[in-house]
Parts: sequence; C-alpha cells; structure tokens
Amino acid sequence: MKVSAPSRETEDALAIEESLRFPERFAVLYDRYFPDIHRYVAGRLGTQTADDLTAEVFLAAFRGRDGFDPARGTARGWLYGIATNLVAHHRGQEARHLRALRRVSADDGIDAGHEELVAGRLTAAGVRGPLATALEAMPESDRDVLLLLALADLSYEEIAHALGVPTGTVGSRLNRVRKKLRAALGGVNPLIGASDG
Amino acid sequence: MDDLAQIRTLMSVPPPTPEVVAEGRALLTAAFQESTRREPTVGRIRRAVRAARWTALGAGLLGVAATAAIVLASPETPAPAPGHSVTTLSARDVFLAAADSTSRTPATGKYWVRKAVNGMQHGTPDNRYVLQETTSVETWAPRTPGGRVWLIRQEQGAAPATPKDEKAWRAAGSPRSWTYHDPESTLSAEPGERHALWDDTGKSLTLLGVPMTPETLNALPTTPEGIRAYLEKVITKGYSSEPIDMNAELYGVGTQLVTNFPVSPEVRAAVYRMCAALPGVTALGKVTDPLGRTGQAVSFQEGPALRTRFVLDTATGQPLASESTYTYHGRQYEIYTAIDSIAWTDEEPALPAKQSPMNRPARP
Repeated sequence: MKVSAPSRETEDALAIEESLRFPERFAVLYDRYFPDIHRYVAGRLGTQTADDLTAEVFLAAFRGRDGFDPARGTARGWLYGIATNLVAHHRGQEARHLRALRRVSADDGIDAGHEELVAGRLTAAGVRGPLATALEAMPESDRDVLLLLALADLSYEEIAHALGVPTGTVGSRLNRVRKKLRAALGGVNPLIGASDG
Repeated sequence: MDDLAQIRTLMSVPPPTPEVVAEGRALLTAAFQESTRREPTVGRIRRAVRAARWTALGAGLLGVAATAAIVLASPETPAPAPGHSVTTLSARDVFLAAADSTSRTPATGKYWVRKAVNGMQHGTPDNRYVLQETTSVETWAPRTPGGRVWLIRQEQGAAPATPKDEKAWRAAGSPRSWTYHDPESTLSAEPGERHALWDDTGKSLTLLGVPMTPETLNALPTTPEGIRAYLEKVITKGYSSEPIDMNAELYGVGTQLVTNFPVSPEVRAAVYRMCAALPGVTALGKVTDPLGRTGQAVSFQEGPALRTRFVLDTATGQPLASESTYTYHGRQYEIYTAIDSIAWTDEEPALPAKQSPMNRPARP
C-alpha cells in the first residue's frame, strides 16, 4: 500500500500536538518558519528589533501551544497572528521605522542599517515616501491585514484566523485599503521616481 | 509593480544572520528544558545574549554571538570543553596571575587594534556533515574622542569541521560552495573580500546598552572595588527590574569589557582582580584554544545547560578566547571568538576598497 507523505499543514499540527509531551518536537516549527516570521517582523519594525522579537514569537507560541486548534486554521497563520500581536506592543517602534523608511532614499542611510539599505534599495526612490506615509497614516487594523497579505503572503482565511476576524471582513478591508493605497501612489511614476512632493 | 510588490520592496530586509537564528534556538531549547525541569534558564540566556551583543556589530556584523558564547549543551551529554586537562591552578590564581602580568604591559598609541577570529559551525544544507566557518575581524578604535572607528572583516571560507566531516565531504564530491534555501544564501570555501565598516558617532561600541566612548573608557575606575561598583551600576540599569545573579553578570560583563573594549592595562588588571574574588568562578586547567595556543581556562558555574569557557594567557594577561559547545539533534557544534592580538599602535589601518558606514543606530 502506498502511503502519501503528509502535507506540511498536517506535519505542523502533529509537531505541535507531539510537543505537548515532547517539547523538542516544537523545534520543527522554529526551523521551518523562523526566516519567514523574521522577515515579517523586520519588515514592520526593522531588523534590529526583529532580531530580538522573532525568538519571542516562538517562545510565546511554545508556551501557548495547547491553545492551537488545527480545526481553526494552519500553524503558519497562528504564528503570524502571535507575531502581529507582538508587533502591536511596539507601535512606537513601528512608527519610527516607517518614518525612517520614508526619509531614507536609496543612497543615504541616516537611520537604517547598512544591510537594510542595500537590500531595501528601491528602483524608484520616489515611491518610498508616499508609500511609507500611506502605511503610517492608515489604521492599525488595515495595516495588519495589508502586511499579512503583502509580506507574509497569507490567504484570506489565514489572515482571518491570525487576526480573529471573519474572512469577509478581511476581504472588505483589503479592498478598501488597497484602493486608497493605489490612489496615494497614483501620482508617482516609478520609472522616474519623481513627483514625491 | 503593483502595490503589494512595492510594499515588499519598501520593507525588504536581509535574512536573519546565523547568529540570530542560533540565539533564538538557544532560547527555545531553554524553554523546552524549563517546561520539563523548571530550570529558570530562559531569562538568564536572554540577558546574557543581550549583554554580549556588541551593538556595532549589529547582528552578526562582527559575529557577536560568538563573543556571547551562550549556547546550550543538552544535560544528557555534559561534554567537557575541548582539549581540557588536569586542573593545577584555581580560578582565583589564574585571574590574579593574569592581573599581575597585565600591569606590566605598556599602552601607548593612536589606535587600539583588536584582531580576532570568529568561528562558527553549521550543518550543510543536506545536513550530512558539519562546516566550520571562520571570519577575521579587525577593530580599530581611536584613543581620542571624535575619531573614526573601523571594523575590517573578511570571511575566511568554510571547510569541513572535523576529519569525520571531511570524509563525508569527500564522499559528497568535495564541493567548494554550499547553497541554503529559504532564505537563499551561499557559503563558500574561498575567502571573501575584505570589507571595512566605519562609524563616526563614537557610540558604536556598547556594553549592556551603555556606549563605551573614549571618554567613558578613560574614566573607568582602576581598582577592583571601583570597577565592581561601576559594573554593578551598568548591570542594574541594563536589566532594570529583571531578577539577576549579580556575580554571574559581573563575570560576564567583566570578561566582555577586557575582551572587546579598549581599556587600559590598569582597568584590565582591576577586572581580573574583581573576577578572582567572585564566588562561582571555576578553573578548567590548561587548554589549547582555537588558534592552537595554550592558556588557562575558567568558567562560571552555569548549571548543566550552559557550557562556555574563557581562556587567558597568564603570562601576558591577554584574553585568548571565548568558546562554547552545544549539542543539537545529537550533534555537537562549537562557536568561538579567538583574540589574535590586542595592541595599541600609531599606524593607520590598511583599508580595503570596499567600505561602508556602520550606520546601525543605537536604540534606547
């Protein structure tokens, strides 16, 4: 009899369940998702904060692992939900980070780390300002759904699970916020990078 | 580019460094142990990691995690630190001998220059064998305030860690590079380019969040009691309300101060004398360090979870290395920082063409 390999979702859920008796099993999730969660947290708060905070996400997840319910969603969505909660405790840092992103153009780094600059180089420096400003100006709840889609690439269902809101709410919020965002960027030609104001 | 792609570009970041990944894993492993044996290790490791992080390096720029030397050995395999022999001197003797030798070392010159080698081991992408990665790092710190700090780093290339790993490497066709996925990164057997990073703020070197500017360093107390009182203040401020073992922190912060910062011989001797008087410091005897030199090793009573050692040359008072060993999935890995030399000089650094600002702001 041929047995097909379990899906990643099943593996994750099994690892969490087994970790209730054998804590070390939880390391599977760490190895699998640390880079993704780090990228998400670093995108929102900067690399330096993410270097400390990403480990906290996994510690919090490990301590709350008996609250994970595979019937309600994926382990990945659950981890991003915990990460988003922790980001919410660092609103001041998020605002500072967005201001830094807005200020820093491709070639001068006052506030961002060297590596962040190199990697974060925008082909069109002019887009950075309006985009970072729009992100800073929007309500937290809109920014959460938008960034879980853009940075984490979660499905609507996963975002709903991560934030504890109905899937329909995710869809309507995303429609509204992306429309506003495109309007804010509308005046900018990314190839020229001009008209930044 | 659509709006989502633009957000991804705006917020794109480099992947986490191996040091950051290893630190997080050490915290999680401590949590696993805590959950079964109620050993309060997580807070302690987190503090130690934070204490050891040398802001200038940012994460991994200088390979600070190596200096942190905070890694976990599983309690089931209490492997002694490598190359360790019969103890002849007590830890107190080692520190006092080092203090006596230190006081005789002259310290004059425009720059303090620290040349170090950071070593780290990783599994290969297919996890068949272990690679040793080494990076050389030169730190040039000016004696006078307002001068430029330079860090010059160069990757030395990766190689199989042990003869056993070398055999597995040959069996795999002797590859010269290793590519990891998710995130994408490549380790090469060839040495990398020399890369200089500079900082003009004077605040790139910090101890527990306190910038160690030339002014601060020049004003450090030169008696064991004085340096202890100063470090206690730094530690209390750095940890605010967290419960700490003050003796363990004094040992950790004290050894970092003499290893990572341009302190005078008098300050270094005072730190050694302070350490000599700390309860909990133990001697491991004469050992061979990662650069093949012999020295006296000491460690602080860390409990079963932590296995680290600090190696000193008692004849010169120079710190030689900070080493640690941890076991993960039944395999043993080592991390170290070995100090090739610490000296004062009037020379200027030989700078490579590749230069960038350090530009990692010290955040409150």
